[in-house]
Amino acid sequence: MRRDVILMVCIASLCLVWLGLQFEPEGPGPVESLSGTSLLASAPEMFKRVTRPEPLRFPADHAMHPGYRNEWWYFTGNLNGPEGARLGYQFTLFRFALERTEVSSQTDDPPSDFTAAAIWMAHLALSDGRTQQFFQHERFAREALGLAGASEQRWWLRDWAVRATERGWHLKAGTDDFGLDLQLQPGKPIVLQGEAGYSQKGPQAGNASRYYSLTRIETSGQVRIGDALLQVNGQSWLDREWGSSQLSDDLDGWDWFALQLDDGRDLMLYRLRQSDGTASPFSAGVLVETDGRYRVLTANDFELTPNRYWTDAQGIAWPLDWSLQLPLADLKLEVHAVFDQQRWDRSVQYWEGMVDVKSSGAPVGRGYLELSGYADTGEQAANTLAIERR
Amino acid sequence: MQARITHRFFKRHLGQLLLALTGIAAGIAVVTGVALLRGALLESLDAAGSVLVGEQTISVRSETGRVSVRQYADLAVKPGAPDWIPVLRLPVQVNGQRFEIVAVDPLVAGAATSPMLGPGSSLASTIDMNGPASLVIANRTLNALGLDADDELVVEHQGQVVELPIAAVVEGDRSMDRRLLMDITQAQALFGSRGELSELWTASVSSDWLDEHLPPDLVWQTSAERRDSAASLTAGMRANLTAMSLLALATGMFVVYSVLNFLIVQRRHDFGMLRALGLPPSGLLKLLLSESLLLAAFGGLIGLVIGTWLADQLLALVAQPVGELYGQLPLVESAPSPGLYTAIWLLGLGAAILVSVPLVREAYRVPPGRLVRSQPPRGWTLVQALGFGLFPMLAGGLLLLLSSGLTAALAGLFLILSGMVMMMPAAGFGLLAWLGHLMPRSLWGRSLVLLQSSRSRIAPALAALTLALALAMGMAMMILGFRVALDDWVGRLLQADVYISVDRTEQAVTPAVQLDDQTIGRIAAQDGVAAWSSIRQRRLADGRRIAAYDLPEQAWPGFEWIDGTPDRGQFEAGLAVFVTEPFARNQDVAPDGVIEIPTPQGQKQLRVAAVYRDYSSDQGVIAMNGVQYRDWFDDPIRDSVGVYLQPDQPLTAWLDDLSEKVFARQLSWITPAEVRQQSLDVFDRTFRISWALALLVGLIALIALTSALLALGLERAREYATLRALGLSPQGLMQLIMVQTGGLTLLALTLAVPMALLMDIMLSSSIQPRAFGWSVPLDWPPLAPLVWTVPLAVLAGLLAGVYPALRIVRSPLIRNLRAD
Repeated sequence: MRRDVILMVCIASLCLVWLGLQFEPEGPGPVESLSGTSLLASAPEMFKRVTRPEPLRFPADHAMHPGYRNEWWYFTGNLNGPEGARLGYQFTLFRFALERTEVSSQTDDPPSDFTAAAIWMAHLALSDGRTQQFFQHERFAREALGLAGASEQRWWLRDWAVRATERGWHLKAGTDDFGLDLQLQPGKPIVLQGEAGYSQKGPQAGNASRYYSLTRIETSGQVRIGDALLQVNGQSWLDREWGSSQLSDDLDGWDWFALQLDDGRDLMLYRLRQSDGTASPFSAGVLVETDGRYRVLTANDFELTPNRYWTDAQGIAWPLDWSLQLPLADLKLEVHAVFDQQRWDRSVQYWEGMVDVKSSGAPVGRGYLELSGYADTGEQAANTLAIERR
Repeated sequence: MQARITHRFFKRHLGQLLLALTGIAAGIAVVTGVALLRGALLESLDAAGSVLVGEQTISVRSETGRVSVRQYADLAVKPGAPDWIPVLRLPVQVNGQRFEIVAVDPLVAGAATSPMLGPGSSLASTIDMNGPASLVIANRTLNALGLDADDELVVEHQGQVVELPIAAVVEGDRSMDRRLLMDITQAQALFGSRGELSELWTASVSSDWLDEHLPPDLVWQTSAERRDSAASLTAGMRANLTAMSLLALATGMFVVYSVLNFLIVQRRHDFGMLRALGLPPSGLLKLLLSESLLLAAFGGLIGLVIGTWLADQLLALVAQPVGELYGQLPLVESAPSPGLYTAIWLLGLGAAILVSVPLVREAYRVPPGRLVRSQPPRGWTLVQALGFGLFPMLAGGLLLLLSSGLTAALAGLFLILSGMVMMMPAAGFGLLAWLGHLMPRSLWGRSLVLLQSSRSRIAPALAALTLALALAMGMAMMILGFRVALDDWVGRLLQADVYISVDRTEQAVTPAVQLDDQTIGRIAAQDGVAAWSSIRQRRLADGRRIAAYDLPEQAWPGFEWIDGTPDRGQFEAGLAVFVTEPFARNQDVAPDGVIEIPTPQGQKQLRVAAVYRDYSSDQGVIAMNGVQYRDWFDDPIRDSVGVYLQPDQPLTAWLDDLSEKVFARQLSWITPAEVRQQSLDVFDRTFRISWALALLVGLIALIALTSALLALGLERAREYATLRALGLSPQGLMQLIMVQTGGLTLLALTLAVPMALLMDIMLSSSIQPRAFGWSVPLDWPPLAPLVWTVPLAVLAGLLAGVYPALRIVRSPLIRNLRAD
């Protein structure tokens, strides 16, 4: 009898196991991803390289530069709202050119309505110092059907747009949760970074970009948070950059500072981080005087030291407080994040937020800090944009 | 001790054990198979859009069927516009199966993960936008195709065949079944579908924004609304399947009853002994119930396994017709859940308890110490049976008359069948007695009369057998009768000599010729043309279908009017429409009712003049005047043109002229005979599932027959031995047993035929109209199912007699004489 019972139990168990397997979830399939940093570190041969200084022309160079792998229009700004409200914003348009394929290359009579030479990404963020809330939203579009583009007069991704005005630009972008409607008027002339706008970032030919900035832009308008409209004014900063493979392969990321001092000077510094953690010799910066004259800085001119790290929910540590020394201008500054949670967690993972600038503990200015490449390793690798997957 | 008793008994009667298990497993398998199939049909219904960008997906479609790319671009840049994902759906064939390419712009969805692709996957990270054209496929679909990730898929779209590599294999949820994701740029370039999109998706947008910004010809729907409307499409098919599966379970349970009943007969002696040894009635109850439950539990598990396998086979059968009829893609395999398995398994246990109740009652009647077999109680008399059977039949009839719902009709059918089943044994034995009296002195007559003594044993088996045979034959009759009706309908509908459409196989990408007024003018100008008709079909955004007709005098006899007055003048003036029977039933409209049609020019109202017979869509069609349609929808194209030739004009010569000289092979044509054949092919594919179910029920009938006859033969071993001892030769005994089993089969067949006819009538006149909207004209039932079933059943009956006959003939007389 025991044998028969065992036999029945075995058959029943087999049935149960088989039935159980019917609703076992299957393992995930292969899904590849790409980090944000690698987008800037490599580009197929078909793209133009920035290899030497060339004169920049305006307003023509405000428009996009087809032929290069990537390009961006990068606004950041510190704003004052009613009752001492402290706000910061970021609005960026990124253009990533696609490799020419059978589909994308036939631009005269494209085989598809969606045939595009590039894809565009827009990042819109708002930091509310009162509530320490960080609003972020990203958008993508193909450079097709008029969905995105940049001319001398207009830079846009769908209805998020920067339009040229008589005295500067009008920036308008928003989501259901927040929005910006800002008038921007440059207070200083254009600053050409590096050697007349030729900004070398690595040892190889082509490890460079065209780079110019407007470091102080008078800003006024409205910020919307939910349904609340806040009248604001303050200072913005515009960075424009384009190139192909501007970063060398051994770089992990960068720390970028855009600081507007109360004495009227502006200071931009970027520290390119090498794989071993040290600063690349191609790190650089610029110090802009009150009257708009500027001095280009090299890696040897300044020193940046992280003082405090903030660990996010994913366990990634971000350096949010820094010491900065610029002996040639007799500057010893401390840079502090206004609040910690200003981290982008969308397609590209980075930290970008408003900072206070202090000297010996006293406030001397405001600015924006960008930390890139910290989340590009292991499982935290920035997880989308399969542009170069193959 | 009880376990030992059970074990010893079943060990000695392994055949009976296997039969009981088979009965349970077969019933549960059919219920499981159909339940899973229902789920598969329901779950996949157009879920792709709803889960690709989350549960809150809103989909925007056009009244004209296609959203133009320009409309998309305009909507995308409007202030406050949400992230619209443009979607192009292309029906394709892969390995002869219907698939769908869902081409999207993955970029818009960005990093947002998509439930459709599986945990953590986003469209942007999965779909390759920049490489050569490639596909994203779900693991399950890939496995179902028997392919590897390195293989290329051969995809056919409108005659164009392309080989596409697989860019990524995702876990995917059920909505990825039979769907191939691809980048919209690549899909448009590959299949030449520029300019138009199937729909737009977005994860969330306020209805205020939509109301303010959507152009009038675009409409929006939430995922829940889409699911509801898609689910209602196949409601009839699913209800029918469920009803049939429950009937199959009922038949299976008859088998179980018959076997358990036999087992009790075999053990009357044991029970008497046990009672004499002090086993209380409750102990006996426990013993019998635990045996039934054990059998049901074990057989149920096996049934679940077989049913799951069966579901996938049924799914393969039904995939094509579901695609053709409903424009839906079923899953590649069924989606079982622990809940469903448990429910069906418990249903099996419940049914086992149910059939055990009368058996336990009978076992209770065995007095303690009864060591010899007693004559079991006789069954109902014919009058009793009529009395008991008429009640549920009347209830069922009333239900059918008083309610117009499908569920009520199925319940009515159940009740009527139950009533008939109750009458069957009494009617059968009445017939048996009459036959016996016809030939009182022959061995045949005596053999049949002998059966009367085992009446209560044979009755359930006879009822099961009759029900199973009636189900199998009734379903087959309905299908064949419907096929005849469809054939007649197609024959009447197609009045033209030839139907012409644009050839999409020769020039799949962008046909140079379109069937517009100019082209039709050139066709009509050919020599030999007497008249022409045209049709343009369009699915409205709410799912209703319009057929816009231009009809000459010759085409009108193609309609078979069911209700109302077919006022041609009103139709041609664009003042009235005709609707098909399913449309009238589904939408609850009648002649002189008014229907609203959303058009690019706003809502239009039209009077319904008449209802006509149509089997082309169970959702129904609105037939409207072509001129009116073209005016409202600004769509000058026709899908096909019917040409009526002059009597002396040979068709072949006319077609040669048309294709070679006028349109250089840009047109294709089809004759009414070919359309008829294609329609019947579609029909046959559609009813594959019903055939499969009829076959399954037939199989269960065979099991019922075999088990009943084997039980009968084994039970009567002692009587047969007595006959041998009295001088009946082994050959005579063989003959007697075979006459009994063959006779029983014939008896069941005789009873099953009227039941099958009744089922055919009820399915055709009551269930079909309620499930699908159309009625089938009553006609002589097709007799082919009888022709197939009768010889098969008789043969099975005879074969089922062979084993017990041989066993009795070969075994020693003395043992059988002593047997109890």
